[in-house]
Amino acid sequence: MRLKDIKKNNRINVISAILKHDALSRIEIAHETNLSPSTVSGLVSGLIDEGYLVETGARAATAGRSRVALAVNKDLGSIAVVEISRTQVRLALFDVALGELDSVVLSHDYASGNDLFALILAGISALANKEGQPKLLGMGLLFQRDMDASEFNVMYSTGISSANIPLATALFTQLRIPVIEEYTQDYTAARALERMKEDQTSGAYISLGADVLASVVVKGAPVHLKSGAFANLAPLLEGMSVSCDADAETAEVIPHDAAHVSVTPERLAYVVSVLCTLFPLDMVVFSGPQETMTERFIAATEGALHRCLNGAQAPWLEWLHLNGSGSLSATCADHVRRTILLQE
Amino acid sequence: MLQGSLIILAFVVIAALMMTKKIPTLLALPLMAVVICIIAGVPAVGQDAEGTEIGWLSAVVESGTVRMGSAIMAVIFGAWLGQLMNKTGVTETIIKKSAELGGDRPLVVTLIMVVACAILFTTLSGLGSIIMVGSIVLPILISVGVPAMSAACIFLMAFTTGLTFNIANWTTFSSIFSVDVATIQSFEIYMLIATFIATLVLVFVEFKRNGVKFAFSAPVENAQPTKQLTGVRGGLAMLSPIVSIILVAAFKVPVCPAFMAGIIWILVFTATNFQKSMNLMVKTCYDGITDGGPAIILMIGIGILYLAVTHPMVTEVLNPFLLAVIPADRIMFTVFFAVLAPLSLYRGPMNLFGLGSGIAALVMGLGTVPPLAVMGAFLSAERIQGCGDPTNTQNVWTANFVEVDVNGITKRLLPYLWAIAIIGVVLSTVLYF
Repeated sequence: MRLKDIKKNNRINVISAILKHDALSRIEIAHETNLSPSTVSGLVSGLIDEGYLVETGARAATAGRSRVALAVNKDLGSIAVVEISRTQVRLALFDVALGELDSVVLSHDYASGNDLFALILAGISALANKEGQPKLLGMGLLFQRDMDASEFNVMYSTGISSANIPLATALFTQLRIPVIEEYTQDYTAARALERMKEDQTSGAYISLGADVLASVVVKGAPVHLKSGAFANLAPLLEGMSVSCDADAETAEVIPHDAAHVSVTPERLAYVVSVLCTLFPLDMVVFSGPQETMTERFIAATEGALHRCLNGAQAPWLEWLHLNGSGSLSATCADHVRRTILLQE
Repeated sequence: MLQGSLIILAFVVIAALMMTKKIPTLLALPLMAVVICIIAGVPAVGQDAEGTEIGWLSAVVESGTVRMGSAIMAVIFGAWLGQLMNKTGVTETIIKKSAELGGDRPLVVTLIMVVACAILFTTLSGLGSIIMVGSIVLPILISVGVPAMSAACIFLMAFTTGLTFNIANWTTFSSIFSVDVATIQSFEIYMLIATFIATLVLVFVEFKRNGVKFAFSAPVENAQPTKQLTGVRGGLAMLSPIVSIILVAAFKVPVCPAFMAGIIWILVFTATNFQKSMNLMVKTCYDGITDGGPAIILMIGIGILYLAVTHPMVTEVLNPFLLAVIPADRIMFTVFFAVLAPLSLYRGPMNLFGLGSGIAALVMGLGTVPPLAVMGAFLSAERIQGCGDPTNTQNVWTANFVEVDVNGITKRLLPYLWAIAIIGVVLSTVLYF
């Protein structure tokens, strides 16, 4: 590896360590990255000079010498996240420390193609180009999970000839900033599974939507299922004719439509109980839209699971509603930030 | 005579509407076909004495939609393979590994970029791929000191060099000229050499003009691949763009199976998980069809126009005009096409992906000049259109990306492209006349 590449990798490691912990002192960075303190000191000086990092003030004093915490410079620039759903398009602007600077709903309806492209550019022009707003560094397009990015292709026309290009490519061409595409599904799953890995616990993540996808982590390690990281339980749920207690089959059902597989609490509880017999699950995280994952549905599922487990210790159940998009935008902004700062 | 004059007038009017952006090419070609048929007196519905359909609804419009069927399939499979190359990181790795190979020497980096782009565009197609490659290559060229205008011109010439050996294009030309792919290949080899030499001359002239030092040391920024393909499998995956060409050119494998082999090749050498590979295969297939959409609809129009101008009732009307215009003498033929080659610009009458396909069919049907010489002349003129036409999406995108005037690119490239076209016309006369 060339010296230039080694230096570049070390820079990436330093920034990565700071992003992971929000703020670290030089010595903590050295511990975290296994680099020598002098190397870290040199790299950090360069990163401060280039405006990537700032000293946030004394953080702790040890052996008579204070450690100055370093964090990413929130004024380095801004990150835009466009949440694209079937009901609205929302643009949020974050600083590099992931604080939300501003937001605007670009459309209260479904928008696609060149209309959406124009809406986003107008939104960016209104928000990001405002006086005093930091320079736009990157953008994330956060699609609703049942959408396909190709729905949003933009027609690039010269008047005589034309071509269809992805929305992200069109935005990149126009704004000259990295544009990444993500799906709300990925974030919900990523957040749930990441927490299980960090806590070294065993658990399952089940997403309720057009498919019912399950992923399992045992003692912090993801279990490789037959179809990869996720298994689709929809065929199992739809074809299931048994339940823990036939009399208890409840009317509280996620109705079947294009966006959802029909799910009854009983069937869902039965599937979870099967997972519990196969894996030592401490927790099960469900995600789905708030309008379908109602309080009654949740209560019915929890009750059914206790019945299915027949007195055995039930795992902790957690329900993530997908309409709270703010945190998902921040997660998307974090991904964009990592792409920019680490050139992933 | 009146009918012939009216057809020429209709031709000029529709061409003018197209060139002035009043109607798109995809509408202009079928419209022209129908107007030509009506003026020539072709009935909408009808059969000849032998019961064969001669009405324009069936013999021209219906049959025309599938006339370029094999070319359409080649475009789809080629775009599918191109999408796979983009999505698996093969495209990006080839460019960035090439940049690393060039080190910090601008001339070497530029020449290697030319070769890498040329190889990539033997398979890649569509504006999406141009953007994918251009957004990496152009900043690399600019970062080593090549001025924006020069970088744009060099990139487009490199793209055109590769396009010469794009086997999906070969199939299109083979359908337009009604010859086999091997005949197209045998002429395109000369065009490849001529275009590559012209690209090298362009590079040296631009370096000289801009005073870029031939051994100037400059950093190549952002040359770190984001999707690393490494090891023997990565190396084999990077051969993907040439697998299909070798199969077609050396082993005479038909184009679509050759693309399928390329698709299997890239999947085998980039796959990390069977299920993911299958998903990627399906996704890139759909995306490839989207990429190929503009070319596909254009080919439907070309097919319809082709059948219109080759309809016996139309040729009967137009042949006297063409016989008076198209020279039957070798020298005059060469001069005629060499001088008129730039008429392929702005979607003019020499543009094979438009009106030129119909004119080529008409001239070939005259019987006064060898059909292969006509093929060579039009393929030569196609060099100017493919690379220099400011109405191409790739030209407009490239110009916008490096912030130069798109017509400036055409002006800068025209001498080189015209020279290639003249060489091509002379060669086609020598070889086929």
